[in-house]
Amino acid sequence: MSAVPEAAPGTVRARRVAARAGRSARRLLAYTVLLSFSLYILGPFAAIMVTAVGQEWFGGRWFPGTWTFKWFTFARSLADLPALLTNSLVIAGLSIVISLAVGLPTAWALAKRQIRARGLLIALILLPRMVPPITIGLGVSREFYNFGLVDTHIGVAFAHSILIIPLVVLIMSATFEGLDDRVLEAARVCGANSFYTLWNVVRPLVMPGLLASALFGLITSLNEFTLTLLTYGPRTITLTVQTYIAISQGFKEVASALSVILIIPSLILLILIQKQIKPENMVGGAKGL
Amino acid sequence: MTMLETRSQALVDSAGQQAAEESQESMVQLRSVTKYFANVAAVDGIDLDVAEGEVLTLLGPSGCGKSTTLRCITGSLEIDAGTIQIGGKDVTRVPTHGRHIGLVFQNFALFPHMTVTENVAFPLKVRRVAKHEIRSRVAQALELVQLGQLGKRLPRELSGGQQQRVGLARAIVYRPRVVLFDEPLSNLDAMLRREMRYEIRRLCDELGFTAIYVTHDQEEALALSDRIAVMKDGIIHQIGAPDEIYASPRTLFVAQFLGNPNRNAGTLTELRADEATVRIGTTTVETPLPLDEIALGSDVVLVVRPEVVRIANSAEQTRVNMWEARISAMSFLGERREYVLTIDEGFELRAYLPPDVGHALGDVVRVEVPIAECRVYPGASASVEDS
Repeated sequence: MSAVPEAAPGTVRARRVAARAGRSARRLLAYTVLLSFSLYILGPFAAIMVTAVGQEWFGGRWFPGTWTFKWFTFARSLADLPALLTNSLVIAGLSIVISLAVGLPTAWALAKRQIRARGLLIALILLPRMVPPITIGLGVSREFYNFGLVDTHIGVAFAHSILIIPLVVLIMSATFEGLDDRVLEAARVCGANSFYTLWNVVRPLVMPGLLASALFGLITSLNEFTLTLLTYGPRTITLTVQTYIAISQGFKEVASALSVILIIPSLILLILIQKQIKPENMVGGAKGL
Repeated sequence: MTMLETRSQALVDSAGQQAAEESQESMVQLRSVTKYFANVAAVDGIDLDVAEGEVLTLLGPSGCGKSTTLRCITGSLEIDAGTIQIGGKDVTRVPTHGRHIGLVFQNFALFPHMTVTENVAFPLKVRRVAKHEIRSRVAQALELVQLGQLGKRLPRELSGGQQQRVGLARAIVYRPRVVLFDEPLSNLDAMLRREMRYEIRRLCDELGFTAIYVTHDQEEALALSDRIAVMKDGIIHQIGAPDEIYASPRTLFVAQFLGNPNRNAGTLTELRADEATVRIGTTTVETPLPLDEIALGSDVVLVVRPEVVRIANSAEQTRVNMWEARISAMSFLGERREYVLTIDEGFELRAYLPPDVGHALGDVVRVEVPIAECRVYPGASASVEDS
């Protein structure tokens, strides 16, 4: 404040200056926190990416000296990558279908019907997520051997569904609860039959929940190791299992290369969903009309 | 305005044609309709006839079964006994979407993911009406509810009053012969309520549909109905024109639900050919004969509307039903003064008098209640409080 007389505290000008300083300080703090958080989340990804393309890497350096794609090639030689990826995706797809088929009616019942012992039921549904997967996995693999489900895509998918169904039920029962019964009644009175109402009113309103369920289902299935390990076979080996095997054999770089591939489907789905979830499609936003 | 009139005229004509096809039979007919909720009859054997083009209001306190009755007519609830006819056809077993009626909801119940236009077009799309016709009919309906400019908005971008106009447009756009209203104004503020009340009545008159209107607001019911059915505990206590029900309530419940009348507990002491005598404390009141048969000496409730109580001037001769009373409370309410007049132990009357009447608190005046304005119902004093 050069030629202008010093702004006395309390004048409009001084207050404006102070407010501006406060705003920039807050903005700086916000960006710092955001950046640190991003690094915290993205750091491990970066490490994997770098490892996957590093030729040789002696400790203490941030970046490897030489870049290479040989680990991907090596991974290819160790296992049939397209087949692994196909297995992973087919199993994930089947798991999502099974989980929605079981989870949607359950969620609807929990949200819209009067149910006795509701709390107990929810606890039961969540149980598979509460116990270590190995506990379920051992029992599952025993039963699956009896039914010939081991080393079939559908079998592994069934095993994965045990973990995905609780997620679907949680997400979708909250979504269905947000659906106003009167809006459904309005559709009926307007002349729409159950199917028309389901497709043109219910479906668009619960779409965000459905997409979230699918995304979580995909991630859960792609990442699941324990249950896959106990139900897979030569025909159904997945990327995740192969990654673990690579680590146990000492090929850390190969494991990193496999992990990079593993990220791709989730990322694609995430981007697709990001575009789909528009604010006006959110049931929650439309509720308190 | 002229365009609006011609458009509404077109709708009136189509409704008129439909009316001509219909015989004199009632448009909506309920016969001993019963609906149980966990062993309690929410609707207890109701008979109801609503004539073509009539506006009938189901009036009652919350839990009286009026909304349940409406949901039975829409088919949202399956009835446990009885039959429902709409337009001469038995629809008791017809699902909701096959009944072709309009319904306006208390919470509007618009489709939140659709624009105003899409909301109003919904019933037409369901019925596979041709696209160009949908466009013109939606525009017409939006004009009728004065929302012509807001077609592209989403429901949440509208005020409560505007949302309810969309609800109205959606209910009338496919020209149903019966439109039901489930407390459509309860979620709106008082000013808007009064305005919308006239608008709804205007729509009923212009389009000529048959309307069944549910409300707990007596003023709303009196203002817009051709007939009112007063309900309590799942049964209809009385049905009739607003002025008729207001003037001659059939039961104590109806009397105290409409208006805010004076209720005094007394004893029936005398029954003559065309009049009766009720004693309250030491005062005797001459009344018309009670509607129900009441045994001499039993407890009764005397009902007198505050607007019929008058204060006699000093020159008048003392007559029957004229008593001395002390003004025990007084309040000024702008267009009138409200007095509480104590006549006897346990005998008080509220009276509405013009604001320029100059009596002071504690004054002793003479009060008259014309015999014809008294109503006597059976009941002990306890039931006086129960409303």
